[in-house]
Amino acid sequence: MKTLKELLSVRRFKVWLIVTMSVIVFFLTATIVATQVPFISNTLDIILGGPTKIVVSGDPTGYNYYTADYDTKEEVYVAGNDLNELINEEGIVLLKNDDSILPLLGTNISVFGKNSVNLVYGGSGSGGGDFEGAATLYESLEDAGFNVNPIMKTFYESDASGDGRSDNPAIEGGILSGFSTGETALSLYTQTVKDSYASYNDAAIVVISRIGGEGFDLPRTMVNSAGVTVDGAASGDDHYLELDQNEQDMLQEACENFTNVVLIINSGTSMELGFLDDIEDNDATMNDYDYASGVKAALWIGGPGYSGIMALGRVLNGEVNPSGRTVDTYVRDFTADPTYANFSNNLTSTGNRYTLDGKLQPYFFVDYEEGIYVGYRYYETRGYTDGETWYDNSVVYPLGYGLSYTTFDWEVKDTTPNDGREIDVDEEIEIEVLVTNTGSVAGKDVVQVYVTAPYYAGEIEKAYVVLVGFAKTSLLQPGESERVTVSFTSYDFASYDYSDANNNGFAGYELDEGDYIIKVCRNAHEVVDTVTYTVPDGGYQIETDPDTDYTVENRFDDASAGITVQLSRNDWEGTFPTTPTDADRAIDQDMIDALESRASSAPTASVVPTQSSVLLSSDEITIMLYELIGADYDDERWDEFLSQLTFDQITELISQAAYQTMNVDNVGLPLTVHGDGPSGFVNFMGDPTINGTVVYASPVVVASTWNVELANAEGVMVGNEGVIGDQTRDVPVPYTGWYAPAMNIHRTPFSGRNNEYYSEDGLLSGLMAAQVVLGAQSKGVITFIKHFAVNDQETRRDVNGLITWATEQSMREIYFKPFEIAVKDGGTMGVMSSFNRIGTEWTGGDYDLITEVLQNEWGFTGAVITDFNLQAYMDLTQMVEAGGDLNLSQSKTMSSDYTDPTYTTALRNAAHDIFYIFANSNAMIGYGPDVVYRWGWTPWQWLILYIDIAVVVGVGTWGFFTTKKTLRKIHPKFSVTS
Amino acid sequence: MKKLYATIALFFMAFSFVACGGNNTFIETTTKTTAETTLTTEEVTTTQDTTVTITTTEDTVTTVDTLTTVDTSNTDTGSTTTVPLKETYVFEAEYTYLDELIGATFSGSTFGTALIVDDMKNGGASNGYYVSYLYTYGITLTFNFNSDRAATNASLYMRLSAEYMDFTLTSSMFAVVVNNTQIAYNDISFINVPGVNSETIYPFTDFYVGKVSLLEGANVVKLIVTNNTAMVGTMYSTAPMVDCIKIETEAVLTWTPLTDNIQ
Repeated sequence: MKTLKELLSVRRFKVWLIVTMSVIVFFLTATIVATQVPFISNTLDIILGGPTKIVVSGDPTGYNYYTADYDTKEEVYVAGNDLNELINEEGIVLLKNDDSILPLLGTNISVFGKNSVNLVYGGSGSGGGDFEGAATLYESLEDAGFNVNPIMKTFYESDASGDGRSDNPAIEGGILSGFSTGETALSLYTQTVKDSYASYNDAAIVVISRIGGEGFDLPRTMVNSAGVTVDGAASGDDHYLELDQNEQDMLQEACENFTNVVLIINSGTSMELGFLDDIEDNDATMNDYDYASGVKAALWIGGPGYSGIMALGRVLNGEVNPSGRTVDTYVRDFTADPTYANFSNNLTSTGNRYTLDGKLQPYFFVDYEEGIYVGYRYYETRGYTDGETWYDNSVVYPLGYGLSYTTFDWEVKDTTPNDGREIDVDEEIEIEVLVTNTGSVAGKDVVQVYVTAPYYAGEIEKAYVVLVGFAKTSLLQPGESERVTVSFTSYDFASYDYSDANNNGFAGYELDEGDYIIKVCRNAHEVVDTVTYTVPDGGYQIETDPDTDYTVENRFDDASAGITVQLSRNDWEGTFPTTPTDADRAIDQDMIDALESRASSAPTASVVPTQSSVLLSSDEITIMLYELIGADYDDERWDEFLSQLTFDQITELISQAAYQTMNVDNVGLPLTVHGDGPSGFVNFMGDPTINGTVVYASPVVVASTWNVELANAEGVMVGNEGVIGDQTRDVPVPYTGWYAPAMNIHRTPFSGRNNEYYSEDGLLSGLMAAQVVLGAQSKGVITFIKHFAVNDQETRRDVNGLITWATEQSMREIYFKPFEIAVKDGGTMGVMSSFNRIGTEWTGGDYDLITEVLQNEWGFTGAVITDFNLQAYMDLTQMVEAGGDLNLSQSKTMSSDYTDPTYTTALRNAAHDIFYIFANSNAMIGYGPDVVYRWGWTPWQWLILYIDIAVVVGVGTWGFFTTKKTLRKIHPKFSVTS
Repeated sequence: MKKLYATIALFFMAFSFVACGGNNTFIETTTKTTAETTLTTEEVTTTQDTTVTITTTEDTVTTVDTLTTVDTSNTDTGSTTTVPLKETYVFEAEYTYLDELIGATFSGSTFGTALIVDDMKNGGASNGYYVSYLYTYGITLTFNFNSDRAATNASLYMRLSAEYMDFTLTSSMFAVVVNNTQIAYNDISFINVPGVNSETIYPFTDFYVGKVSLLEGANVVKLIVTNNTAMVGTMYSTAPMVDCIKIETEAVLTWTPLTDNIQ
């Protein structure tokens, strides 16, 4: 003490002490703040890197439940882009090829179109992706050996050709108002540009593009929100999916200066293309010009994804023979379509908004008054009833249409059962067709099979033809033949008689008595051959699901009742859909009450499940998740496993599942990473865990291949990307959940997300989706197919939940169909419910939909996640009691009242579903009985430690010498022997 | 050191005199002085007219986050400057009329009072709530209030935060319109915005907009998203999250907050 006092009397020592104390306090404070204040530590994690998973013991490599077909992320990226080119090669649809100008013989070509230098590669939002550095049209053409007019290219790249289309559409409240195509006005073409045609005159390639994306539907007016007609529009009354004035002028310019004009349609949805044929369109805003003669060829390419445009050059030069087929009916006049009057905002700002006592309510609706007559179901049926002239005046290209550089002959070789026979309910039918390439170049063909069911006027509405199956050949050389078999069952063409329209006392799936004509077709309109089967008197009433044997009965009578007049082939004009009137938009308080109700329709439980009351330590856990890998859903060990969890653990896992699910360490569930969207792992909310992944072609292009093997290959490739995952961490993190495939219906061309969805037909959508699911899940990626269900427009989909009125017949035959197939044939373990309501009930909280239909009828086993949930009406208690499992949100909390048996039983069931799917996913790679992980320090934490040590050593060293000197000063005879 | 102690003592004596003084208002001056300023003595008195008289002996500096600004151009010892007493009025965004608004989320949209967010991550939102999902062109927050007098020198602030990504907000992207007059303000940058899965959010901060003129009677301040610069997902416009606006003025402002918005 005396010595200390002596030391403190010396200034040198005092200075050291004060400085040392100050420095220690400062660094201690800084260390505490940096490591203990979440904002600081999280920020440092983001900037300098987060915690890493470290193997403490065991060998994770012994537990590779799923393996990638490639060794590195770079390899799979290259392979994925190569596959994407293949998808595009087969997805490009040759719509027209007069005088066989394609493939092009000459190589000196001029490209027209401002959007040729700014292609639409895909959608936006969920359907989007990073297209920075994507292959360009010009690269594709040059790679294919074409000499492309550089003057025109430079012109379009410069401001001299105008600003082009806006990168960011002005979305106001979910509505995209009039949006300019961005095409260059002909008046801006300089003489230099025009003079350049002559040197590159073998062909003119004319590009027109249309955007699409999540969150908005496409404008049905060319007047923007300010009331001004957008630049380039022919008329404010035109819609977005027809040529605007600048495009018309450009196309005419090309036709007048080039003999060979090829139109490239870069749009994820169909467009009005009536100008390509010589049938009068009666379109007052089209130039009076013979485009049909001038435009000799047309190719639809959709959204090619990152690399897919490279396929176009190969199609144009003949290296690839196009084999794509349309997935929608290309209609001459979109405004005459039966859906036109009931879509989006119904063409006025409040046209789809309910009122109560004349006052606007915050509830929006859509009426599916067209019933089953969507797309080709309408056009082929009405063409049959009203005649071929009506059909030709209405349809430009039917569903399933596409040309080839070669020709094919077909011969039906065998049918099972034999032609003319009576068939049983749910009988398997096989049609075998011999396809022969009778042309001079190799090519692929698509055999399509449709069914014409017997129709009885005034009874069950039936489309004239319904697609029941298809098959694509392999690449056939000239003269080569191949047998393809199309298989389906009679259930696939059963009608759902929701209203007992045939008065036989039964409501449900039925096969009416009579003749069923099986049509082997090149497309929905062109029949090659037929086979006829009969159903005996009385028909068949299908009471149960053919796969699960569960009772199938009406479950959506309230939604059906919302359609008071539906379109009927018995009286087209009298039942044609109309825009809702003010009276139609008036509702009463009972309906408001129903909309605001969060009541569950789930059956009540009587016993609260037994869950752990405390968080169990690892010593107390008796069964870990890895022990249940591969276990059946009904394995009795699940009971023991689930009972280890607390209710709090369960609700936390359920409620915070935005693009990931939480780790539950004590039972060995790792954090799982999920990515959006249908074009691959391309969209992730949060940190850059999703990186270096392929942006595939829009799903509409995948569907256009009509090649289920390619769809499967895409799924496998995405699965490979999932297994390899994020390689930036010490222990790679796989991508486990995939919010895809998306399979809502192209009910109307104006739906903004048609590029993300497959087709207007449910079967085609389902069969393609099922293969994608199979492929991805083979690599342990859980596919959350979406959006279940009847979510076919973006407008107001999530504003208190768009109220969708539709008949149960249309729902089951069209809108549910792809999901049913993806569950039954694809075996998907994930489903994403939708924002909208069916009738007044939100889909995600609809017990009839989620449990009765999806799980009980179809046999779905897996987890159901909501769509992005920031909405009050998307109630989590209702969700979980309906059979849902995960909440796609990071900010909602669940009830912690664990005394209600129904609620708590639902929580346990949800936990079962969640743990089950992840136990059978790539998330479990590296997890086994002897493998123990811990979370290691972050790089910046190590840095702080080193700094702290350096500081302590520094001041300590200084202190040593200071103390020594001070002691010498106090006691001159004192010395320290060094 | 002794001189410092004496000065501080005098300050508190003066302050106490004011606080306990017979006439009027207790004045709470929240100041944060910069390192360059020195306030040696200060005497503050009030009058019936809520006028503050401040006596200074040296330069004063208007600080960043004080809401009582003192502007003295005369630095002579003993000089006095009379400035009107200003109050700061806070108008919470969550208490404005939101019923007709449709906002945009990362994936989808949201409607009406669903735009209100509980500040569970303790971002410092006054009243514990703020308005988000403004990521759509044209969406407008409207603040209606009354003033007892015309005032030409009111100071307007916005209290903002951000999410998802770093960005810079300009007055052409996010318009501030006061009584039909658009106010230009300095760019506002949000840097190191925490990820959405972070346990924290970017702290709400007051940003000075500028001097605005108030009308006697009804006034309107509008915050309008006026850009189509997409952020992520379906957030097709860039926008901040809004806690409130603050107006510092000598006028007396009143409004009717829609407190039922939060239930």
